[in-house]
Amino acid sequence: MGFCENALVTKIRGGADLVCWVCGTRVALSARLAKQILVEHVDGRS
Amino acid sequence: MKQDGVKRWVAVIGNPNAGKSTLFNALTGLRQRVGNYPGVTVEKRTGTAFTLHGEAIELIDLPGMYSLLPQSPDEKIALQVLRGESPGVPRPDGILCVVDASNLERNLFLVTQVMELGVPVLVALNMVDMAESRGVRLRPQELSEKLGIPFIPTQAHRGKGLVELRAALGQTLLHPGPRQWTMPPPLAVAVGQIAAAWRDSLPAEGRAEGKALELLAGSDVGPEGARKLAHAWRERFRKEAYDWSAAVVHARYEYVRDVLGEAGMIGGTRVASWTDWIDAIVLHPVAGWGVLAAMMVSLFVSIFSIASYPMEWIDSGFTWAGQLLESQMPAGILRELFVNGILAGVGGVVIFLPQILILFFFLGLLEDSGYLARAAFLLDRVMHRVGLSGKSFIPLLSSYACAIPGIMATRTVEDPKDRLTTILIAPLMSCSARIPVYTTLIAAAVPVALVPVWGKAVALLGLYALGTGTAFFLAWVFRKKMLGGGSPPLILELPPYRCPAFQTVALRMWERALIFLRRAGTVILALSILLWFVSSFPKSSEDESINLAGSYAGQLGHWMEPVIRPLGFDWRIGIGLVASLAAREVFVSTMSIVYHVGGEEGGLVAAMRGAVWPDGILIYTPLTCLSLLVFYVYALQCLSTVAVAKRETGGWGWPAFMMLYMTGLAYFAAWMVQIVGHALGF
Repeated sequence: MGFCENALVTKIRGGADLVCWVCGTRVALSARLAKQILVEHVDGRS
Repeated sequence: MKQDGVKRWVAVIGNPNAGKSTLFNALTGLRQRVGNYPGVTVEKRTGTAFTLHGEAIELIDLPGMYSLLPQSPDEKIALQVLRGESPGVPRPDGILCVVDASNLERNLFLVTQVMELGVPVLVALNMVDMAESRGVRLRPQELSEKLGIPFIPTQAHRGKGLVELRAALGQTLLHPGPRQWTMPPPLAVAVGQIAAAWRDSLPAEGRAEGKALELLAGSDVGPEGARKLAHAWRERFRKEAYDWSAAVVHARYEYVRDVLGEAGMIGGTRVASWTDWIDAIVLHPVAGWGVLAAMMVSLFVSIFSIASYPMEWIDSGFTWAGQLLESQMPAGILRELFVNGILAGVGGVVIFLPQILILFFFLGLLEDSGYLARAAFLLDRVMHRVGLSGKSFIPLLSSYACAIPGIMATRTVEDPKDRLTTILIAPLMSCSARIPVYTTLIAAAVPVALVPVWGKAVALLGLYALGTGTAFFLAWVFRKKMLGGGSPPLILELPPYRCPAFQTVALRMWERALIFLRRAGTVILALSILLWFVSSFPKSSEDESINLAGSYAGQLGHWMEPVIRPLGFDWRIGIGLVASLAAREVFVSTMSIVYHVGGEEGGLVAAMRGAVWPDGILIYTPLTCLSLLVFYVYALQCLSTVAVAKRETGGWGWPAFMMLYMTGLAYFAAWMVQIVGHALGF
């Protein structure tokens, strides 16, 4: 689905479940899965 | 055409939501065939397309997939077809990859894998309009040069680019060149050794590397030497905690980004769109549920209101046919067979075709517009509580139309226990075959004058809610108490909202109508003739009711009446219950035959309202109708569903369990309705 090392992830909606943008796709993740993905905050990019 | 005169086969593959099926429909039109892959019940969709020179090519539409590393049974079938390992399906002569041009980074990942299968590849760069509206600069010629395979821009939903695509299909497709992405060093050593052990029996180096990766992933197809090497390397990587598959994914994506960057096609920054604005409502924790409820209510109200007009026309048509036969044919057994057997039986079912089409129409709209994925995401929170994931929602929603494709759709559910649970509860979703039973009984229980259309829609919705609620409860029981384990977390693509492709929706409706009418013309016709015979013979009297009681069917009904009497059912209903084991909707045609309403318009409901016990008490009281409705909500009365469940679960054990628990539940629930109803004074 595009979640790999160095992938840029943009959070669209938070809350109980997450909607994010990765590899040009809008992806919904359950909170359980989102907690297992390590991300690093990046400024000024989308 | 191949040199031996055999048609060429081209497999159509792509990510979900890339417009693959829309393109497939555009290329094949009505020249499609739907069947099953041998030995399994995954739907196989093939069709004939023509090149510009008039050459016929067979296209096979494979299930959408993100990667050639299969996670679900659907994806495993697709991979077998691509490799030429699916029995009865020839190895494709070419592969048409349908790629979403607005999302090249992820879609080209699959293309890099497909290029390693050793089969010529052609890419349809679909949805170019959407890509351009997002600021993506498309350069298909540069992509073709860099990857070494043709890229054809298309807009399948508008029919654009099809001429160029047909022209490309008509040309000799070339095999892709060797791998161009850089394999990480530790993995390159492993793959090199395994490929060397295989190279002698394979023509192309790229194919040997692809096979080596498959062996590393756990495949057991290959020479013994290669398999042993793969096993050894797999163990070594495990001990060294080296995630080689993640390294491959990373390497492929790096390559894809380099290709897009060099082609000047990295662009199209994300901006808020109307999809985001709609999602703000549709995915809202409160408003989202309201939208879902509104959708479902609209669907059920439409089933009753819009469908009533064509249903009246069909009813009038069959009534006219019955009256014509009665006036033109001499009295006798043959006329009885046609009027009271065939017309009553088949007509009693065909009349519900409009309602079924409306159901499929709305389901098609919801799926094509992109809303279904949102509903699955919303429902994941609820389904997780009963041990299921939101991905089970789509098979369960399909089961509202028919449990057979619903059970088949569980192939997209990766977790085996989730999948089994979904199969066990799918028949509880009130399928379209129940609609004739529900609407007939609701009409019998509640006169039209007393309750408006929306009231009946609410009653219908209540039945659906009963089945659905019970299904969720039983899912919790099965998942938590029987099968154990937790459901996997949900990850789901949310496609952008788009105007549904009405051609696709219409084609789907047409297919379902054909399936329904074929069933009416075969199974139901045969059963109607059989039922007429067993309910007419042996003849013992000129009086129809006495003759029925003494017939073979009547004798069976009387024999089982003591068992079903506590539910408020008489022997005639017993005949209906037995007959509808084959197909639920047969209950209506059976009752039509039992009450001899072949030539009478709207006669069945009237006949049921007037039916009495020997002591003169009405049989179809509102309580009995409710009891019978509840029975049909829960009972598994579809042998085809049992057969599909047997195939999907790999044996008779689980289907037998399904039959037992649903029959027991139906009997108990219907009995409880009678007990509680009588206690309340009804």
